[in-house]
Amino acid sequence: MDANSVVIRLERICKRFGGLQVLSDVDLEVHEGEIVGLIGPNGAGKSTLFNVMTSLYRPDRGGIYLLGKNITGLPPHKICRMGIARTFQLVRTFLKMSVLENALTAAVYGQQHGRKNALQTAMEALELVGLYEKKDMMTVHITLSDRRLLELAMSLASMPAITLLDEPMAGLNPSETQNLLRVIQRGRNERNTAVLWIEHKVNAVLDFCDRVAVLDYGLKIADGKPDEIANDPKVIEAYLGEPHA
Amino acid sequence: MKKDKQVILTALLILAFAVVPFIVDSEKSYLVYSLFLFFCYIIISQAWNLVAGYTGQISLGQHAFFGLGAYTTALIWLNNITKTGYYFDPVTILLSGLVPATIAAIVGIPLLSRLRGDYFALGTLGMGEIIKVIFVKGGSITGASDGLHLPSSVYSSIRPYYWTGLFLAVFATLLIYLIVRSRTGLALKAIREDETSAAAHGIHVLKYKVLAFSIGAFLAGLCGSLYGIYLFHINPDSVLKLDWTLYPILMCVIGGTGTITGPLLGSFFISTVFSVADIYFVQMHPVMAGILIILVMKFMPKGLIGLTQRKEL
Repeated sequence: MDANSVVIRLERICKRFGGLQVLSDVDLEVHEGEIVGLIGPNGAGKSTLFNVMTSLYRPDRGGIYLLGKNITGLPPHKICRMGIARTFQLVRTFLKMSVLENALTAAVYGQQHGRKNALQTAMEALELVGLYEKKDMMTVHITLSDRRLLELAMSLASMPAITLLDEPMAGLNPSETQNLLRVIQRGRNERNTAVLWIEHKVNAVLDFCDRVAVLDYGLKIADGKPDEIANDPKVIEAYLGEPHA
Repeated sequence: MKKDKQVILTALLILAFAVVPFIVDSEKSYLVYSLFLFFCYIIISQAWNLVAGYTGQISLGQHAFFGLGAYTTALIWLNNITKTGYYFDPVTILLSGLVPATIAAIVGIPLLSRLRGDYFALGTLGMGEIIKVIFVKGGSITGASDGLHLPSSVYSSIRPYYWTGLFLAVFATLLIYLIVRSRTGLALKAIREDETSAAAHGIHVLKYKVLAFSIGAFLAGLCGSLYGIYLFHINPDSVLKLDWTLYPILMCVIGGTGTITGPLLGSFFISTVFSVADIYFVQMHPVMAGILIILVMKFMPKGLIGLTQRKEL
């Protein structure tokens, strides 16, 4: 793959909270149109990595490059406008606003030059995730699975170069999960946006992603094609513990 | 179609209020005075409504901006600064809004970037007290605790107060209505719902919080100016008292915060209760108001506006 298509590059990211080293020297690249899974046991530093990428935390060391530009330490709203959209592990939609207002907010403020066609962008994003019919409902009145779809629509409405999904499947039943997978794929196919995806349902990630990276105790221990990852002894050890001697 | 009707009804209602001083004897009637107070309450409750109801920042410093508005008017008048006549002078009133708005922006940046939730509320309360102390200790410039006396000989009728109050109340309500329906309103509501998420969706959180805080101060200042001209005697106990923060909160909460009509209903309700209780239960009206507030909160937690909305299943 040529270097031009790199959407985001992380260079030796380190983050520590007090005495706890949460991320140590994490390198990661995501290319245009690629869906990359990010897996690892609880506390491996996956969400922290997202929070560092979106500038909610500042890394102690290391650099984040979006489309070749260094964005380390810029304020979160600028990072969103430059092209990183995200969803949250615990859904954070705006509950007392309508579904359309949510999408419109993302379209108006999340895009770099999006003010003119914001309404159209928001409508298209809602249509893509299948929430168009519910656009006038209050967000507090829609189901968890619809709220996750709405977050996805909001991230699409900001026309990102890359979307960070933080456990989009958590709390969804199998049919809702299938629907969400379809939407993620549609988003990628229609917009060619890159996706970096944290997920605990390892099977879904291995079936679905182009590439998978594994974090364990803040270290990236593997990065490769899903079938390589599934058979990697280090990954198996991280999930199942050390084999008996 | 439905919207046209609403506009016509609103216009008729405003017109009806506007002709009241022609129908009743404005100089003797208590009604004109209580409606004047009602308009003042609308202005300050819409100001608090924007800051707290729509942006989610509980400000307890509105009385400081109200007082700053009154003092700005008095200082401009007594020191003959703008040379524009002063009594109901639009320039003076406008400046009395702009001065608090500027001060709100200056103190708002550190307060709103560092403090959240309850801590922001306490921070604004502290700011209000500091401003009050500054005016009490202001020596001959602010007239210390006795305050400033305006030349009351210019007073001839309550009618100009009434109409200016009506105008400012309509202006404040319309301004808030336009703001919350605009794209700025989307940002304000998003900040109220979830600051972190708002920032992650590209909203410059501090900028919009300061903007709302500053507009709130602007409206409070306008009202302070009008009330100051009415009192002719501006002192810390009258225009810088905490009531000017507590009343708007009360009216918004009773009417329904985060709605346009809520503060109108709340202001009407409270000013009616105050006026009636003041006649029949002299010196006891805060007790009556307190009981009513408890009842409203117990049975109508969404405020009076909740009555018009469908019951949620």
